[in-house]
Amino acid sequence: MADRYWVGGSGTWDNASTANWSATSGGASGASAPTSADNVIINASSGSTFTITLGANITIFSADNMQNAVGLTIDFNGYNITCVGNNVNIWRSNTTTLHLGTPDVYFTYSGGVGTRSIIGNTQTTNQLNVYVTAGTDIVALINNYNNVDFTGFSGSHANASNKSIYGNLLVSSGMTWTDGAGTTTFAATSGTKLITTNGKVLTSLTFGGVGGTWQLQDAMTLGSTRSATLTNGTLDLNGQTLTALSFNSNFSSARTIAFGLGKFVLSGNATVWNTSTITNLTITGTPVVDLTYALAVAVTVNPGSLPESSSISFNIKAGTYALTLALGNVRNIDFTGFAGSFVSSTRTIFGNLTLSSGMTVTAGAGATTFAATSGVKTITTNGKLVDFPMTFNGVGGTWQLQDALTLGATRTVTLTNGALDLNAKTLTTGIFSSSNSNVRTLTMTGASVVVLGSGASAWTMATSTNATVNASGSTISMNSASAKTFSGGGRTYGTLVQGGAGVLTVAGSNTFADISNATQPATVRLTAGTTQTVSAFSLSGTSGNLITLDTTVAGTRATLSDASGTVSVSFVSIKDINATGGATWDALTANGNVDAGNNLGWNFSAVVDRRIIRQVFRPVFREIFHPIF
Amino acid sequence: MTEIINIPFTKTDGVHTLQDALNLTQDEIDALGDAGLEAMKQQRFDDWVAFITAPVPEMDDEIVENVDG
Repeated sequence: MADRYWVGGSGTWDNASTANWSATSGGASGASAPTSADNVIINASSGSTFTITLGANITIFSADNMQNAVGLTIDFNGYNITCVGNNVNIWRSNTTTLHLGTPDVYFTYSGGVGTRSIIGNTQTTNQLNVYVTAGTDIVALINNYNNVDFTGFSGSHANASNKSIYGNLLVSSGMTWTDGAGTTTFAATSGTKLITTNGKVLTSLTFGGVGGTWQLQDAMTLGSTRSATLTNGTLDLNGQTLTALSFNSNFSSARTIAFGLGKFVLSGNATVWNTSTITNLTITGTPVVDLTYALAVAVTVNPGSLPESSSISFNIKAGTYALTLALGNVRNIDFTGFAGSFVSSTRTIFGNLTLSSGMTVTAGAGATTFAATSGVKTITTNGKLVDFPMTFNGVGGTWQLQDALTLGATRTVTLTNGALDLNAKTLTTGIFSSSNSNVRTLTMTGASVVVLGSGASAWTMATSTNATVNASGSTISMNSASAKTFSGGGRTYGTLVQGGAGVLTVAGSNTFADISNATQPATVRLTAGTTQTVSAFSLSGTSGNLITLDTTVAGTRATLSDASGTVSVSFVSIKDINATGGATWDALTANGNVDAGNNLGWNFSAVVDRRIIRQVFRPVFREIFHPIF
Repeated sequence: MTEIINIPFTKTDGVHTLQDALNLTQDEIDALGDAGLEAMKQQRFDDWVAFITAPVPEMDDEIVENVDG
């Protein structure tokens, strides 16, 4: 192999001219043009500010000594250069070298010996297009490139150095992208660049060109300790899966993640997803992120306050770690397969919530707000206690329980906007609150609600403007041992059950299928001046454990109204109650009832319950008279 | 995506009634069998009854949210 030195400043490089070639550095010209057996050297003695213009396709062994050629411009002029050698520095540019035309350089060594370092410039335009077409050796890329194409290469790409690729990247299926600390930055500032990895595992990547777009042509997988970062431009998953340790786009520059039907699969711990800063962040497609870390080190997902339209679904598929969903918004969150703990925080869910039976949910006062504005979203808790407040607040949204939902005894379910459908399941909560004027629907048909909380707002729909309550066949049990109030806002409910020792105050004039009790002694207190319309009224105490039925203002009546039939209570002490509506209201003292005064409409006579009489004597009468008829 | 099968059930002890559902894959259902499914339902009910019959702690200040908007 001979060395050929460029001399004389600007000139034409073809396969014939000897005008600019010398056998020595800065020597006389006249040496033969370099061939595939020669190494080209362009150095400080070649010129100061000068342009080498190709006049033909060039084939050389290598160009391993151009790093000192300050002021060099290579005008490819429609031609290309092929390096057939395997020098340590098969191509070694000065960082300032400029390229004109289409700077295609082919590296065709087909053996397996050594390492070919291809050192580009550090310019932001017109970088080399590198084609490594053969070889089973090692190739290292250093500095900047436009397109990088390894088609035909079967060796290893060393990854010790950082590099920037301004064009496309094509990794061949036969090569290895060796793991290493070097980061590959995709730095295009315009157009759509294609990334094809052919199933090879890459290292850490940054997508960072202002105005650039990078489109995956197949699934992209980074090493298990390597992360992907989007600082600028558009990352288009193009329906593919991007697998990495973590993903970070916590910046304020203009950037887009185009999911299409693609997704991220993140295998790391610590902060695995970070879009905390959503300024200038656009998300399109159906955003899905799977978390697959399977061990116990804590994991944080920080999605930022993305709007519903671009919120991301997270599937937490494994692990025994503590997951923090930092203050932010998500679409669906599905814990199927997860056996760790979900750390309490304030968050917004625009889609479905699915807890796994093997996980735990950390208690906390931070509310989870369900904020969908369309469609039916599902809530599946798989028997897990949800010990944080839940707020349903999406204009036009619907949330449907898929199983029983149990909140902590001090937690509140708030229905602010939208429709909450209990789907014939049991809702257990500390407080139920929906006292506002927004359009909202509570569907309890065939369902049961257990309210464990106490106080004046244990159940409050006091302001029921624009509220629809569907409650056929439902039960609301007010179970607190302390005083509690049911403020129905004048709506129609199923059965209201006094289920705890604390006084149950019923506020507002409501309609119930029934008012009953599951414990005694206890008190049901109607707000003075209100009317409760019922289809049945089945309060009943036991001897020595009376149910007290009275009003909130001694001496001021409330009204119970039943349109037909006979109401019969037992062991109830009644005061200030006007029983009316058309039904017969029996509170026979013979059945242990007490007239405590100021009542209207009740039959307190000391005779045996007529129903008992009928039950006892009807069969006897039938027996007597049946033979006659 | 594995299909989740919803199996509604109601359990009562005469005082408390839980309306709930199991959400399982067909593989999980097959592995549990009838006895396993029944045991899971009973466990869910027992856990729930234990929860609602436990003493209720003091209420937090944040519990009531009457929000317009």
